[in-house]
Amino acid sequence: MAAPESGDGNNGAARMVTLISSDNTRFEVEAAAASLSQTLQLTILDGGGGGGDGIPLPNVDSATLSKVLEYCIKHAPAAANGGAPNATAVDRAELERFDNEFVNIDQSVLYSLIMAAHNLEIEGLQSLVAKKVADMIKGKSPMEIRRTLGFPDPTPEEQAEMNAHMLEYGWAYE
Amino acid sequence: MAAPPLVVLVESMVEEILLRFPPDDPASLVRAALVCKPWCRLVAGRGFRRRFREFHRTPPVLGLLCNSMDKGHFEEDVVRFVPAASFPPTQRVRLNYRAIDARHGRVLLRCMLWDCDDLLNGEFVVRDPITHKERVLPSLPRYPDRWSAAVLCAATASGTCDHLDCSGGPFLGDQQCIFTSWWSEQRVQHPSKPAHWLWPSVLVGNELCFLLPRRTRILKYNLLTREISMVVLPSLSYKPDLLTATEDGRSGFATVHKSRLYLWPREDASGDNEGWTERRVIKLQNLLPVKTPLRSAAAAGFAAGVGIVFVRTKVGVFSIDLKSQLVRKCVMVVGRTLFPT
Repeated sequence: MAAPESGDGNNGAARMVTLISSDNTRFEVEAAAASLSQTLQLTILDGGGGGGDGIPLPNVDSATLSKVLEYCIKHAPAAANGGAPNATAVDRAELERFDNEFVNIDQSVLYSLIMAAHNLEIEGLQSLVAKKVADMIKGKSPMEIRRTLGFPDPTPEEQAEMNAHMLEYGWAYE
Repeated sequence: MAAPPLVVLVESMVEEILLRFPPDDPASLVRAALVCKPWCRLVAGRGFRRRFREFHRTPPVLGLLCNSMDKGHFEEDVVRFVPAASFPPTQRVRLNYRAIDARHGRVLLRCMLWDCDDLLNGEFVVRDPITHKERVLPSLPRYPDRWSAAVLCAATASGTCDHLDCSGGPFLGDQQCIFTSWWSEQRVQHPSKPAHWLWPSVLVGNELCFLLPRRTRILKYNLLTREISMVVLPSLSYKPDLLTATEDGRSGFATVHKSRLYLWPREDASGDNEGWTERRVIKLQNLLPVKTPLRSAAAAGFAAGVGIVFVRTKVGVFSIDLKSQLVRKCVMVVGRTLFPT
């Protein structure tokens, strides 16, 4: 944050970009943080997003975007180091604590985050939410997984097929 | 409450989620496969299997093969498969067979059918414990008094295989069996009878290590140079129960003596006979449940890669994770030697 102002700099810490959510809220954020998104990185490298322009994100609403940026800001310094040796165990533990708390959220928010992480291609966030969903469903039966993830109820044919398979793979339900 | 439907998840997102399922619980993936057809296609695909193994790197221990002698009408060799994780039903007991080795998703068994002191059919069988595919190996012209054998992926020496999916090949022909023999150090009563001295081998880098019968020396076979060398074990008040390998590619041994588990990694990987250090002593009383009889306890198996030692006691077998010191009771029956698979 206290980095000297460099005129250019792809990841110059002082450089700010503006992101515009689907409901037209403007977020000003350091370029380094926004660059965790592979999708945004290209635009930012091309010099976009600065000044009054802003980068429109028609697929992400403001609530989700603020959550995404909370993650990016927290993770940007570590990402800039590229997991360099000067990342101490304390730093890593702190990030882990942050991550655990970060995904301790309502399911609907989690789903919006999955979509946003996917659309914006934020690798660390994708991995974090995927782990969270995996933890939510791994011990569950197929029907419970469907309900948890909001699948529609199975048609009678699908139900019959599931029952047949469950009979065949009985060992997986013991 | 009403969660937005997640069925719109594209396949890559579903895969990211399913990749993070626990590798030691195959049943959880089976259940996920029954959620819907796209998920089933994903989980059943070879690409997913490969990526799942790459993601988790270290294959889990799915079960143990336990050799023992069943005292029925006659004393008979029997090998039992005891699942350590959720596992599909499989042939779990195999009479008149003995497990010789297990590695890279394959098991080497030997038929142990006796007529008086003659081994009737000592054929070797390579088996895939998951698909049940088997291949009988061509018989050797003769067996020396003392021998051991190992099974491993044929690409081990060339280093071209990461062993994450070498067991997934359609054929059973992609592995190699190494036999080694040595002249007896003492006359045995039944020259052809493989007795109680068959310990599991360990693979350390490109070297297969076998514990020799008196447990004072290790025979090493280099897969690349095909050279055999000997390493003398330190002279101690106790003998090694079995050989181990460290994560950074050093051989070692483990033994239980006076209720303690001793671990001896070698200091360096060079061929000299020096460099043995007692690295760790684990007090079993502190780890195993109270009142576990430890008088005849012994290290009975070692899972390379995951770093788990199996300790046999009179009341069953316990697995000890050397990193976390997590202990689990895994087998009720007591086998002589154990082969984690």
